[in-house]
Amino acid sequence: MKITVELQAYLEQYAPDGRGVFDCELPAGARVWDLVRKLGVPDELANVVVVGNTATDLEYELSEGDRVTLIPPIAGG
Amino acid sequence: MPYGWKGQLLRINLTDGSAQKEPLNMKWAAQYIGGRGLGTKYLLEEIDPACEPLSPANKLVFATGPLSGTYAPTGGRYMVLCKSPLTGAIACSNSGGYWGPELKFAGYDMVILEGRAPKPVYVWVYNDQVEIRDAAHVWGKTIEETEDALRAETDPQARISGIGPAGENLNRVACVINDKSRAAGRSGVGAVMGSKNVKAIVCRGTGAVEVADPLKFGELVFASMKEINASPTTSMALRGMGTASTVGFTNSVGILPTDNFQRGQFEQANAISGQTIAGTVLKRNKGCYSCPIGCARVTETSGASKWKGHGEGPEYETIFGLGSDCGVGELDAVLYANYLCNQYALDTISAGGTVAVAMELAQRGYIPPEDLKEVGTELKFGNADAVMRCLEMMTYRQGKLGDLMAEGGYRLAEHYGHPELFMGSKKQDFAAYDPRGAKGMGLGYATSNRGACHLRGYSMTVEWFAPPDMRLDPFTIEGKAKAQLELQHKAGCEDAAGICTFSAFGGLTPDKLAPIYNAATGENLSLGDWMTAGERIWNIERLFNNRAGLSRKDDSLPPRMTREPLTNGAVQGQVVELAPMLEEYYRLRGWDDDGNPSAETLARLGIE
Repeated sequence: MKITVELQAYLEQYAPDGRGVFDCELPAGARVWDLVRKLGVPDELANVVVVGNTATDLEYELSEGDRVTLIPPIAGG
Repeated sequence: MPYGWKGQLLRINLTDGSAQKEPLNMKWAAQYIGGRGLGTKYLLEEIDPACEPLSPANKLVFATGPLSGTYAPTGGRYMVLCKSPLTGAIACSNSGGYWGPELKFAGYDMVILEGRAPKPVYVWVYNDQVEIRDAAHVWGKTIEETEDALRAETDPQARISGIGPAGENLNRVACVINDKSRAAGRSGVGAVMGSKNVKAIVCRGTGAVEVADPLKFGELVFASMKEINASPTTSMALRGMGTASTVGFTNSVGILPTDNFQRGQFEQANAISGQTIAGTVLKRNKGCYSCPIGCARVTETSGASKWKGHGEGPEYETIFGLGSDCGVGELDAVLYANYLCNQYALDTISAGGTVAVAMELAQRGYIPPEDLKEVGTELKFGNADAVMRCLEMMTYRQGKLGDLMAEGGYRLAEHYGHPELFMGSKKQDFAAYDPRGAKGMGLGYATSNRGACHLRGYSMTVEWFAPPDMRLDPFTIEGKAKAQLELQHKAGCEDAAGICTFSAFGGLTPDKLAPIYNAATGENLSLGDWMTAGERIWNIERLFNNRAGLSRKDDSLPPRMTREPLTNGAVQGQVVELAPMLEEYYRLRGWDDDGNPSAETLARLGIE
């Protein structure tokens, strides 16, 4: 299945072509952590997971066309 | 000399032009740690909290902490305190840079400005020599012009904390700026400085701050520095992208305030994000005194637009205030507006909030055409020209609308009959997190003693930023009152000690900070004692506010936050259920139903 991935802040370094938003192919039934492993993002850096309009976690089972946003530890304002 | 301190304060009577040195009250210093706590204690003892903030009866306190000027991580902070002309409550604005340490090096822990000078002056402090000098030649000048002129006539290494035209014109959201761009931003402390006819305090010191146990202090400091350097939050996010790294996050989940909090997602967020800044306009990062993080941004506009300039910023809060909340997604325009605020010495959060309120008032047809005409361009969300023009109008009180905007967003909205459109608490604008998507932030905004503030009880850190196994559900109210208490006490101690709250993101949590304080001062506070000191600080601030006439009615949120659900992102459908959180909060604090600390609470905390 094809999903869209958005890597925020310094997670951009794990993007295959260096761009923060890209499409990615994953096997059916894949969970967010499958994506995280595939990209080589250390688990602790995938701190907040948003799929579509839902804040969720690494266990979330993905579907065709999902947009997954991964946010690393950040803070400050 | 007491360790961590110089043991001396400088009291300037502006009315009669005298300057006196007096011993610091070390009993109070021990009880209230320093900075924010100690400054509040002095104010509570020395002024009537019911006084008119812009009258000579108010005092302006510049207070360092025992770690300011040491080499503790981020030990460069100081506070500016007074009764706020914006909120009528306690004002305690925090700034970094190098001015606070320089004051300590000159031999003073604190400066108290009293009365009102008959004409514009500045204060020149060179170690034990103190002069009150004429400032006619810099009155009306911008921050940069003022600093350059005063440094040229005093000492090339002098550090300067002062006001711009906004403070001189008694703009209620004017700030105090040191080192050209580090702001004691909130609550209108710059207007109080302006009301006293003081342009700046120029400082140069050649002394040092001694600590009680240098070996232990060094061991603890180096361990903390190492941890801060290893933490992804401080070393990769804050150092690499500054606070602006947060833009993408808040926009993704739907709590990036947009168009005066009418929405929580901004279509142009990517254009003003930390990633975009790092890849385009960023020249270098910059750190304050003894800071291993270096989150400040030195930037220059791209050159591809009509907005041209260079300077420091923008912070995340500025990107919201002058960007998304005004609907402006052009990065150069946000930078330029930031530079203007630095030069005028305006709080970027409240200046942006004021413009955003004006834009919504205009959007809904509540400002008559003759008033709108003064802007000279359409006052609507997304119009960067209108933002720049409004900043100028409010700084110089140009026209009726400029004069109203200089009073801050609440008074502006109230004038046009719609105070409910002001987004803030205690007449101070919200920061850059829509509390409907982080309900603890709602309680934090409402109960913050200085009016709406994200840093007094930074609930985002436990509702969104924390690792998943330590995170509180942002959409529930359970546990939020208890969390707020802990966060408020923690921040109070940081502000009192003289360090930056961002150090905690790199692991300098209260259990590690208290031992550093002990090694510096020779005190022996347990973690429990430390947090109790934070609670003591919170309660004397509250006492100040109660005596100023504030009560439960002021611990409030606008109806938009409590009745109108957000409609976008992961937070859609949410409002803040403030009343039950507030009830629990008062109970946990040991306050009565109207928000007054009980006699038992005050006795338990040793507050006389």
